[in-house]
Amino acid sequence: MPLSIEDQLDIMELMARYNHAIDSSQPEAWADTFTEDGVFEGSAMIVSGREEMLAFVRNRDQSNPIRHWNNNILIDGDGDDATAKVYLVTFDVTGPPEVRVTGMYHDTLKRVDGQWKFTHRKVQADAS
Amino acid sequence: MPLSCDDRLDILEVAARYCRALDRGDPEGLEAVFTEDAVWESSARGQRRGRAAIVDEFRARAAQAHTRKHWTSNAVIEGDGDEASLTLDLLVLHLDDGDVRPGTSGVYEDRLRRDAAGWRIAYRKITVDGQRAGFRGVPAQPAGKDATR
Repeated sequence: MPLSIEDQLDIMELMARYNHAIDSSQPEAWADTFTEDGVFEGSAMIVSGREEMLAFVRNRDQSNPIRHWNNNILIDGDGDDATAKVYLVTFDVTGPPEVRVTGMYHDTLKRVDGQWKFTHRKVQADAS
Repeated sequence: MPLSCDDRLDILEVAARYCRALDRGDPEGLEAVFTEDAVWESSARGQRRGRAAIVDEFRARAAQAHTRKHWTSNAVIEGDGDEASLTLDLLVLHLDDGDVRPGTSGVYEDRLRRDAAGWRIAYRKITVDGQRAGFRGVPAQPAGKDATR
């Protein structure tokens, strides 16, 4: 069954919750956006499973406040499975906002107990 | 009754219409997104009570229209029946002399209400980054620069 509009809105909102959670350094809220066996993959690291995810947020450099922004969200899927491609910009907002990173998320998602979660989120920074 | 997809899309559009009204200097457009008893509160500019006071605030700043672009992202909507809350990140691009730069960032925390006229903002709180509890205490703007637009 193709994804409904509600599924697509829920997935977009999951991405927003992910950004709010990481920007306000809430380990549980961030880990909650992934399935129990979820994987977050960056250029030089892999964070896998809930314990590693909680530690990842706790140990993150918080010297400067950052905001994650998404745009151009493309979602495909069927039934309880989905994939997404999303533009990313992060801003350092210590003072007037300054662009830090631009890139793209490549996501796979699953619906678990009625809620969409990331099973795999890979962030790919633009070449710099 | 939980919010429908129509409700969620309507609420996102109300938020977009606010930005567009500000950026175009359109008081009627701004009027249309607030309830009559709306309260608007900014960490940089204080509180305005009532739709008329809010629209006056922006009418006084009409000269700035077309030099600011309000962008929003990361919408989280919660609600039930005719009441909803919306959290939304804000970025204001400043357009000066052909130059575009991110000028201000922050977060909107809103409450919306639905009546016969549809969804409208009943309360909007704007917290500018740098003036935010928990964020490092660095001024958001150089002295003399406008902090919310």
